[in-house]
Amino acid sequence: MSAEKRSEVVAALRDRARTIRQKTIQLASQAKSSHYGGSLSCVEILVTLYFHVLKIDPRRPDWPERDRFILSKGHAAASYCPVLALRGFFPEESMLSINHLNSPFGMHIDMRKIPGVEMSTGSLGHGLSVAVGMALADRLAAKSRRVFCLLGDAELNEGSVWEAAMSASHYKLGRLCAIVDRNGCGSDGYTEEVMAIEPLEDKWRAFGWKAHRIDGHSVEALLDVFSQLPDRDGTAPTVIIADTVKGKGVSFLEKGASWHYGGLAEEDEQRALEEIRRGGN
Amino acid sequence: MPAGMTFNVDTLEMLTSFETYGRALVELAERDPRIVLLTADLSRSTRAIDFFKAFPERSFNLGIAEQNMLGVAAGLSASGYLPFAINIATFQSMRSYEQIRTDFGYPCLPGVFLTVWWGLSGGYVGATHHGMEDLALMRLIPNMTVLAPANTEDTSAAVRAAAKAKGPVYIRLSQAMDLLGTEEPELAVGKGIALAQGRDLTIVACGPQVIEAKKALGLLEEKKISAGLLYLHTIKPLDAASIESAARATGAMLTVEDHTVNGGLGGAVAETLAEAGLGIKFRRLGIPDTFSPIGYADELYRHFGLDAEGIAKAAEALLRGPSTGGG
Repeated sequence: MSAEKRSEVVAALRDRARTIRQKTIQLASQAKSSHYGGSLSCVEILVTLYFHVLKIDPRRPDWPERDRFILSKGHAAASYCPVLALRGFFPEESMLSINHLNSPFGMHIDMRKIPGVEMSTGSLGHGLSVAVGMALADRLAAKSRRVFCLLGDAELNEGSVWEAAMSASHYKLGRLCAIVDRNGCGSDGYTEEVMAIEPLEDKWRAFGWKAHRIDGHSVEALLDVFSQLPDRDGTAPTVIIADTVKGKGVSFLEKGASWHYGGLAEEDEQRALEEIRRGGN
Repeated sequence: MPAGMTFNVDTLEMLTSFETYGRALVELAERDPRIVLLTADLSRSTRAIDFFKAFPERSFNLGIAEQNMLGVAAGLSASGYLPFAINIATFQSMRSYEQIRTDFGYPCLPGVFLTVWWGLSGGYVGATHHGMEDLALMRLIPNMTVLAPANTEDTSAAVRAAAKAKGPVYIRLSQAMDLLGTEEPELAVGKGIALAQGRDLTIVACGPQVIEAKKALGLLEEKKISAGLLYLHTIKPLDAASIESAARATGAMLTVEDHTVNGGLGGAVAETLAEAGLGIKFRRLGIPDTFSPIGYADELYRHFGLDAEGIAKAAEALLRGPSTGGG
């Protein structure tokens, strides 16, 4: 990519990220409460994947050659669903019914109800195993598809994540990429106080993965690391530890470890939207 | 194990009588390239090894990591493959219960969960390895089919039926060789088989206890008790119509299962009778609400009255006991 083209791409992705943050706040308000912190922390990751990296076709969600993305941290639906809508999988208005009886949209995601969703998630510690199964299926079917899986950082407390990590390197799944949204907090507070997970790169490397650690809000850093995938020798799965800020983009949601989940009054919703409008990236 | 014979894990695979289901699965897989098999370090003792040798590229040994095994299976299923996963019943039904419920049941993804050592069949393996709650747990999951065939013949039929299912299927693999002498061409999921008609009571059974119950009919006949036998190989969806008509015909019912009496076949039949307003004489025979002791399987079955003599005794006691309301 030329320098000129690259700066265009970066600017466009940043602009998308700003749009998604606004839509996340609006959807969360429509829902009356949401996982603000963990939905806002992964916006650049989702936007870079969906608007630059993933080989997908929104008009054909079942296109057999597509790359697959698993949102293992299913509670980030408030930013993930607006990304799918903006990418063209379904009209934005369909999300207005969120949380109401028989809506396809709720706190977590349902693969049978939301076009573009590859796996129903919400219970933590499931997604990476599913991604491993999909990568094995790709090998069996001799497809060059790739599989991406976004995990929460506190989710790494789940033992099943490490079972999956062990199997991905055992099967040499070089076309599998896990991304850890390292926003530092779970529901009860800081991960290192609740149940420490560091040193993360060492842990993943010890499980046979290639590990990168980047600023998860830097579109440039995300583009760089994704451009190296799949890894040239193709024998080791890759993990990207993306350092992020919980509640990123809204000053009062970024403060402390309190905004894992909550609801905003109308004036605070407006304050949040205004901050995102004014803020750069 | 045959007494006086030296054996190890290498020879274990030759000593099990799981060949029949293994052969059925290999035959299916020859025709259906979607079929893959997953195991958690148990391929030799479950005869999964036959499939592993025939289709090495479609075989996955995930090691002792049951949750991951079924998550991986779900990923294969979501990608168009048909995963069969084999494991010991306790681990399959409990260690990875949430994967079965949320990754298979909720999206209704096809997948077949084959199990060994359900109920007391593992014998002296003890309570840690006695899968005595699996039928109840699996029955709770929407979209699930739950099968407990009586013998190897029906186990193979169950495996074939499961490969055609639109959603997840749980199967207790039976090693019993006894034939039931039914005229049914092939086990039909959800349809009970009336193996005998009776006047005084109906015995409702699943798994190899059907064979014991069949022997019990003869013992009861000697005591002038005419018992019918309804074989319910499908715990879910339950054949409520056959249960209700048998209950109306005989006015007394004994359920027999190698499972806790709570929530399995007996529980399902009790719910059906209660909702149909059929207050007949009724008893659930199985493992009472207790952990099982150590013992050889035949000793354990005798201990809990799950052999022919025990079943006949329970049937007789039910008929001699006080009549229940509504009857």
